[in-house]
Amino acid sequence: MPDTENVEVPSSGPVVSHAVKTNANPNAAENRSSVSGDVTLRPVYPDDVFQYGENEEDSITSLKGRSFSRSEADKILKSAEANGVQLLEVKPEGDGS
Amino acid sequence: MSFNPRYNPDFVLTGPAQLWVQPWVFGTPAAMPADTVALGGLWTSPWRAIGATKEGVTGRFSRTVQNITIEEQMTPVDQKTTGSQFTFTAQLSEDTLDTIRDAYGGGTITTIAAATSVKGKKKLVIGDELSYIAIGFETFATPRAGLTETPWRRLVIPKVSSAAEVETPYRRAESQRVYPVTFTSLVPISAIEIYELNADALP
Repeated sequence: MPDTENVEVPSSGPVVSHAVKTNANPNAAENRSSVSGDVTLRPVYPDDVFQYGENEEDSITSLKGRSFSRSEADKILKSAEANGVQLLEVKPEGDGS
Repeated sequence: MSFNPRYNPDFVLTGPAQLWVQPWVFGTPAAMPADTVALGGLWTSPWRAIGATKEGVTGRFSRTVQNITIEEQMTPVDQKTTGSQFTFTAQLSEDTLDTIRDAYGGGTITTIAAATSVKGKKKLVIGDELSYIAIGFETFATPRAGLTETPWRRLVIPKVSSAAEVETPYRRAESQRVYPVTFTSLVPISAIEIYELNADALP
């Protein structure tokens, strides 16, 4: 057994974008059911929760690691900004963008 | 007989300071903003400005020492550090749940956005135990000849706790509500680096 220890940290990758987008697509509602995409959102404070929809399932937490389409993420970020919530946008390791 | 001691009045400074906070995350130390961020500019998320204060920000550094003495000399022959403390205090004056969390030492905030038939609301649960945060500090620095932008002095303490007696007055008109905070450094003193902008970049 090597003398090492694996430690998991909340972040799944480097934070590459922090700005809350304000150019949300007004037609993004068509993507509302999308929960799988390129953009992963998490709260700044690891234990915080941001519920952006009517149901508890529509929540951003650190543990759920939810990913969204760009348009859906923009809509959620705009809602977070309106509610005074900071969300971080996390992209996978190796993403050169 | 008199004389004029040497001095530089330009180095006598006044002015406020800005505190920024972000949660401490194991393995991901808080980073200083880029040098391109001007004094008073936005430190991007996850940094969050601490907001208004009643009487500004106060920094305190203390070092307790042990005198090393010998019988043959009345003054110490040496002093050795036995402890040190680096704190920043303020009386936060923006009455938000974020402020309360900062002052009370941690907690979790659940935010529910308004939706159809759902009222928007926030819930703060104060943490049983202290949460660690990082703080950033920014203020004016001593002016330098040839510098084209306002000089800044910055430091980041990557791990602090917030523990204080938080007394908040609720008065009709006498004063605003305040939340006193004391951020105490939990990293070695030698891990704190203080930077100043000294000169423009060369072309």
